[in-house]
Amino acid sequence: MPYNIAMVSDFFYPQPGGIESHIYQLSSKLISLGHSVIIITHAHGSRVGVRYLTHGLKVYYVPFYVLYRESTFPSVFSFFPILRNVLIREEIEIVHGHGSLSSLCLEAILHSRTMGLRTVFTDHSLFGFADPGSILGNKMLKFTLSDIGHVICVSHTCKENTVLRASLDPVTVSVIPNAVVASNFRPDPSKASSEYIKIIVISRLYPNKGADLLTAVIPNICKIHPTVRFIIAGSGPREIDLEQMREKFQLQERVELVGSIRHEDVRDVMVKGHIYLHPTLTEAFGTVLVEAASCGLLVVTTKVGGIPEVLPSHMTIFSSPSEDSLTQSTLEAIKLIESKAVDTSKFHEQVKGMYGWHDVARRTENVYDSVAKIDNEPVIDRLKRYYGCGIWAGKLFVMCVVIDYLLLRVLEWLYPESGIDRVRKWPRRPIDKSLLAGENSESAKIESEDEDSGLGGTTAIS
Amino acid sequence: MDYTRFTTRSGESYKMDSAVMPRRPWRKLLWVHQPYPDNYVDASFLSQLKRNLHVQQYSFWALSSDSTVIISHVYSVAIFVCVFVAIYKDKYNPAWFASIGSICTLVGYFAWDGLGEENTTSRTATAKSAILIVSTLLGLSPVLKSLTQSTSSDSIWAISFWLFVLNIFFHDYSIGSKKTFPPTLSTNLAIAAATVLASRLSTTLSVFSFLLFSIELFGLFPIFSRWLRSYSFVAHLILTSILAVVTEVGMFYIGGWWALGVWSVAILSAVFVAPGWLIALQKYKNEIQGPWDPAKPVLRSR
Repeated sequence: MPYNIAMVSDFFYPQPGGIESHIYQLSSKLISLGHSVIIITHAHGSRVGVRYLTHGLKVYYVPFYVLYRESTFPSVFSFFPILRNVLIREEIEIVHGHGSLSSLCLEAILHSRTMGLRTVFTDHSLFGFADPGSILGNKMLKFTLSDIGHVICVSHTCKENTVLRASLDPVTVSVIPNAVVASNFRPDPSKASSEYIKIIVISRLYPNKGADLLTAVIPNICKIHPTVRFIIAGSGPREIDLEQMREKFQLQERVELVGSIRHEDVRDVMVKGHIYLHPTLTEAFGTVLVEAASCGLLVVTTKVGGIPEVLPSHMTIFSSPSEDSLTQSTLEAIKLIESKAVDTSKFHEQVKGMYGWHDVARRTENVYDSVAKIDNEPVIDRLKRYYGCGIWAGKLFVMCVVIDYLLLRVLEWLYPESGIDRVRKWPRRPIDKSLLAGENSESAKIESEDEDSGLGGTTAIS
Repeated sequence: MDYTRFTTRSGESYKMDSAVMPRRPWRKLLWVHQPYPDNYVDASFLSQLKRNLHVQQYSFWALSSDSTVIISHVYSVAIFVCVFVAIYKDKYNPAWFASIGSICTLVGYFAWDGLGEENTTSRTATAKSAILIVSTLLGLSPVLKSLTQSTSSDSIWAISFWLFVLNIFFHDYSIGSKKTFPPTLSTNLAIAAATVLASRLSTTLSVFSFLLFSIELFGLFPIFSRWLRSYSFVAHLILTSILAVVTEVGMFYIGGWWALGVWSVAILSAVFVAPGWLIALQKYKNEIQGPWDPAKPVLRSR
């Protein structure tokens, strides 16, 4: 049965990023499956209010103060009035939050549970347990997820991490990977250089993305292989180190720094190369690896986080996160490309069969079906869940939830449900029966049918 | 493709599902579509979890002897406070303390200069900068004396107390390489505290003597004691014992038996009780490591 779903996250277009495109792609696929989806995020500058994207995907940009790296100020209760209004207006049944650093998402889950709605949460990243930031973040996550319907993680490693961080029952956590719009990442062998081996790196140049490893590895490889060229896209605090390295070893001719590029242009950069190098130190899933393989690149990557789960061994060469190992693996990849021992031309078709948004949407739909079946428990049982969070934290959390209930009563008195207008749903074309059948062979067809919807969404809203 | 129907929260249906599991074992992969539900929990779940991998076992006496490093700095601060009280109450001639401090500094300097392997600055340069600092201080003393005339003494005690607390927290207690000098933050905090305290004194001579003493104690002595620790830990223990005796005497003079008793109990508990407590708390240690932790990159040093 079709659901009314609200996706809530601080991370959404117009700012670029992995979570942003995940929410967009998943929402549009859920709409093609017959559900009604809205997105709630914070306002970006003058972008305040309701906007429509393709397929009648509606976005609420709620005015909120942005604290740090696009996360809003955590105020626990201040989001409740406007959220309640939107959820009632849209007759929402399932609230789906994304990103554990998004306070908007965590607050929305708390308030929706108070209102008795079903909740789902998707975790996109990995966190440690030792540094103060993680400890605080993990406590907040544990608080919010104490009463969650179901949790989705993007990889098995991410699931293990989230289960530990939020003390969850692993059965309530599903693993549904990210996907790529394969048609946007078609290989183009004519663009690749025949005289040079080109190695592509697309990464934000931060220490945790392995920028230091990259800076160390490039001169080693350039010294051994005279026909290797690098193209590095992305910016960040370590960009200056790369530039210094380039000058020190006089590699200006051979190492091209493109700066940050838009997601639409990633494919055009990728098809120029033969090898994709990914030196990261932490990664929950690594969508960019799938994109690179889809473009027909041989992938060299560090074996960290969820990366070993993402691609089959014939597409990837794994290395440990050390300078020597990464150099060795890259040299091995160069040898494989030179001797034509791997056939990268088949990668695109193979990747297309592995990851598709239609598949992700169907599996997410399964999760929605399961949470729709969960009965709402009495308030006291809900409070018990929060009470178990810790000696002091438990009492604090229970207090927060009790205040939340009182706030709900006040809101019901101030803005009675009968006084809130219900919106008319976006007129939809009749549901395509073959979509609901969801055969594997069909999903490829759907991909190509919705080709321009993939990244067209970005242009539609900007 | 056929996804096995979703399992629910209750353990029963979960078990029921695992009963009809096909023979092919589950693999921890995302790219292959496996005939298992998305929320399937394999027996290998969390198998890569490691606990307390980097936990270090402490020995009581090692901790206890290491705590003397902190104690010796606390002694410096205590001596400094005693000297201030002595000068403030006009009990002693301030020039006395400056002279004793300068003699100790000279002895310390020659020991450091004679036994240290390599010193980059020449002795004439050191002497020149010493003379420069002393004359600047002499010139500034009348100004510093009236620095906080409009502030009440209570505020000054409170400010200097907090400055010393921060100084003790930010002090560099590391044992090892003598190349790097103590961080400037803790030195600055101590000198700031000394300056505001000095402004409470009555004569220019006492301000000058007190500030000279404080620069010797907080600017130069930490460099010496750092060097001594790395040179010989036994020498460090001897120095700490000397400081201990000096401090106890100072405490007795400013506060009598009562102050001496409280001080001694505090120091003894820091050296003997606190390490035992730390070891007792180790059983609550629960470090979690796994594949989700950010990897530590191994770089060849260039």
